[in-house]
Amino acid sequence: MQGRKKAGKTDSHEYHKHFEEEWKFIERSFQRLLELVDSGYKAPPDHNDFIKQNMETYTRVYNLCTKNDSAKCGVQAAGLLYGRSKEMIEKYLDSRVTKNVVNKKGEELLKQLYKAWESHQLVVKWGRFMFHYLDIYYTKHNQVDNLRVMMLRCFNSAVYEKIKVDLCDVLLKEVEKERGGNTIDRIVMKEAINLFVEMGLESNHIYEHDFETPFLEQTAKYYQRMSASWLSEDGGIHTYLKRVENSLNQEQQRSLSYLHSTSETHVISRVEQELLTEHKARVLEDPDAGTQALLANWKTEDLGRMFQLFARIHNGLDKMSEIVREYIKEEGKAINKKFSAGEVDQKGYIDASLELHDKYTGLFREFFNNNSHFFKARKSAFEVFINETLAPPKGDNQKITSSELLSSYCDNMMKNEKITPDELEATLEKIVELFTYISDKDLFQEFYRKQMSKRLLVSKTDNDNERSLISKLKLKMGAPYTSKLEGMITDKNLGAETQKSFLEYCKHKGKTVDFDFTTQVLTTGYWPAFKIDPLNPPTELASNMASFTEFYNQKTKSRVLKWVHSLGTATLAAKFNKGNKEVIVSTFQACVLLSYNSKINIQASDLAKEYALPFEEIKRTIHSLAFGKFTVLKRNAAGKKVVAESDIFHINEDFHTPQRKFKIPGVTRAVPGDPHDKTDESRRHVTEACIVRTMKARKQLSHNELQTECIKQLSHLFKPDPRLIKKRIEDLINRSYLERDESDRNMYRYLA
Amino acid sequence: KNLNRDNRSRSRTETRLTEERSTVMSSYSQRRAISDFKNITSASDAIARKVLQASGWNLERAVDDYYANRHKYPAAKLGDKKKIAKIFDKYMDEEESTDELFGEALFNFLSGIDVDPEESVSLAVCWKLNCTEMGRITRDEFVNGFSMLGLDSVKAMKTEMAKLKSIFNNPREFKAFYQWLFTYCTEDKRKTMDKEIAVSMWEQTLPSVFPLLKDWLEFVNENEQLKFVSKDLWNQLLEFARDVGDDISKYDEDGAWPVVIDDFVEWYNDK
Repeated sequence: MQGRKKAGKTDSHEYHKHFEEEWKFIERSFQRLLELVDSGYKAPPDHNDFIKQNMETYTRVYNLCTKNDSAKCGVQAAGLLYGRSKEMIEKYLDSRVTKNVVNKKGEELLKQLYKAWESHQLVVKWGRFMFHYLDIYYTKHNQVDNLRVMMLRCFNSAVYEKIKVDLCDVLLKEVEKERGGNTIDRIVMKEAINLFVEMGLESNHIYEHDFETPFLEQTAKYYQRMSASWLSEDGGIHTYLKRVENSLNQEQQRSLSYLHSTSETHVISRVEQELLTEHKARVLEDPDAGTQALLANWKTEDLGRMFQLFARIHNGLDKMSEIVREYIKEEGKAINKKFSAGEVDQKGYIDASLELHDKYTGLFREFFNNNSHFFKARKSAFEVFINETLAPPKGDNQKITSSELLSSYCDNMMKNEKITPDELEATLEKIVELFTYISDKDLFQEFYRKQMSKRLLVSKTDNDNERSLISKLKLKMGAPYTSKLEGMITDKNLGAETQKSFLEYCKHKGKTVDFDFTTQVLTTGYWPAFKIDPLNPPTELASNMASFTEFYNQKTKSRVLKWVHSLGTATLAAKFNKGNKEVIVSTFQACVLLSYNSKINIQASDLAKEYALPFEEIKRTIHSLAFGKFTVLKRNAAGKKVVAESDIFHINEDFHTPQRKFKIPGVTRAVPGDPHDKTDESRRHVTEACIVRTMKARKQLSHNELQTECIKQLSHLFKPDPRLIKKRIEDLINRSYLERDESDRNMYRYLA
Repeated sequence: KNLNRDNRSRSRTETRLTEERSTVMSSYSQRRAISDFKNITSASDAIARKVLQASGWNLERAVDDYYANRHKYPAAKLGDKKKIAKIFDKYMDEEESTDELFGEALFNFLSGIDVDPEESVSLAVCWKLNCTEMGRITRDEFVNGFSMLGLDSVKAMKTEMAKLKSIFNNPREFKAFYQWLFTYCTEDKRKTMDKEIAVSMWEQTLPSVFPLLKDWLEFVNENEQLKFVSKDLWNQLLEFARDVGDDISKYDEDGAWPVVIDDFVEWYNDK
């Protein structure tokens, strides 16, 4: 006994004796436990007694540590108990357990170890119970391991350290067996692996070092081998991804069943690396089974699998989306080519483009999880091919652009009365998507404006449909883009109102409106520019025109009305020998015909003079009346179907046609400006505005910076040509909006 | 002590960089600047000081300013206006009503001071006198101009004008002369010069300065779309000539060159 000689009432010698007595009992019961465990813990016949004895032991330990007069004695006692129990365990392990386990191999090792470990866990459990008080009283305050840790350490040094390498080998071999397709005892595996975890006490360090790392190594090597063999198989590339999928599932299951929970992610990522990352290029670019091939054969399921797998790895989808992009680009270019050879089928081209677009929407949604990489890929592909111009083979000066085609497509759709509103909505949505890819959006606007004006004024069109598309465009491009279009529709809608007010005004002022006279006021800025012909109207028309002008002027101040007669139509009642007819004609045609109310024969040039029209116009008008389908006029002299100034015409009294009411197709209306030219002009203005705006804000900028800034701002509307910007800058310098810096010729300054 | 001086010089450079119009300069460096200025321009002390001060003591800017605005800075000794007027009367054609030297009279005068009227040097004379209308020198321009230059005898004029040839070697002077030439050749209201005039001016003045002149003229003449030459193009052409020399590969296509010059380079490279 290592006690200090104490002077005092309690005799340390006494205590020492008492202690040893108690110890004998404790030792005995602990030994009993060890024997029991060693024999496999068959339930002892005197099970209850066993429990009672353990309780007794617990109490005695407790007493030894507490019920004495000196605290120091208690501590000493606890220390002794601790040390001696430790010795007992060590002795037991050394003598009984270690030899069972060391130098065993394979399954035998596993079995023995399993047994030993199970046993030891029991020892720990009961030992902790018996010596429980030590944990409360002693270990905490004296910087020693608590009982559990202490006992585990005993096992660690006695057993674990000696067999850990062998154990790891065995386990890995089992894993290999299982991967080969054999079944193994997973429970044993789990327990054995759990040993590593427990041996690490609080951290996973031991587990990771002694087991996980070798395990991952083996796993990596295994899959390296497998992937190489799979790929080198004949036709192996087709089944490769399926196999990868299987392997990943398997490994995940395996980790869940017997590895520690933290290992799952490590394992999976390792496998992914060996199977997917290493072979990424090989798999994706394979000519027979790679992404492109799958797209060509539209193997959506395979593509889906490919996506799922490669989505797991870092940067996995980059290559794949690149391939998708290039493929879509090729498909697009093929469409371009197809529709360029021969007459450009406008509708067909847009239909094909929309179809292509749709095809991928479905694919992305169902198989690619709507992943943004692919939407981006499709966008760049479309932006490339849709903006290539289709060159008509006739060698016309104007190349046909997709801006024009898309606009014409819309035009056709709006005029198509057979289409249902739902169908229309769906198609409009798709059209707007296609629209976003076009770079020359301002050119589209010009074409659309021109065509819409025709629709609104001449043909019939559904206002709601028009508005629907306009609002969609507005959403994409902002209000300034669609302001003119909206203005046009508003004008048209106001037309009815204005007409009503006009008639009321006339009634009020007692003016008579001789015939059914309708006007439509167009606000100049919104509508495309129409050619204004200086018509000298016939009397019938003139008075009504005057009335309307008066009405309009009193309604609004400071506005000037200009009459666009080229857009007007008239319905005339005509008396022919063979019956009365109603003739729908243009204003000019009406003028010509009305002249014949007063004279029978009129010379062409006189007509021109009477109405103050250029001869070209009269020529066309008369031609349509005399040499068209409905020959209401007849020339006095015979000859070619060309109108000369000196030609004299008269009404063809014998004219007959089965229809009672018919329209005489007129002269081709004066084309209100070529959209290309208009767009070029507006681009110049917009570019200049952009330059001035930027310079005003920044005061001073270098040439490159100015260019970059302008390109950025303008690409919203169209693709700006750097040359154009340069030219505008020069022009602005000339007009003293900007100047070059004297010392640095690349720097511009804003001149206020 | 050393530390102080370093600090001072540092702060000086800082102020010079941050505020161009700073007047915080030691008299030593001011004197240095003045003597440099005088060496370059052979102007008087007073003028040197004045110009330098106006340009914030930046030698480069001062010299440029001086050459561009000669008429503001008269010579040390003004020429006697009466004497000059007499010379003017001598050469002027009495039959003409306007008080100007032009046509044959001008021709005679120039020959009289040993200046070849056909040569570009004659233009330089007009520049020195700050003439405004092409082919004519008014009485005022004549008298005031020569007075400012301090020349009141034919002999003095001869010697001075002989020096004029040197401007073609002095880049700064030439630049000022060249830029003035544009305004001289264009009528009052216009901002652009007719192509034909530009071509003939270039032919006369640029040969020694612009190695690629022949190609440039060929290009310009072939190019039918180009009808007028803007001031920017005119000025930038000189810069271009200087930057590129005879080696067109030195051309920086990202530089802010006028579009016409870009086209020229393209055309030249295609040849």
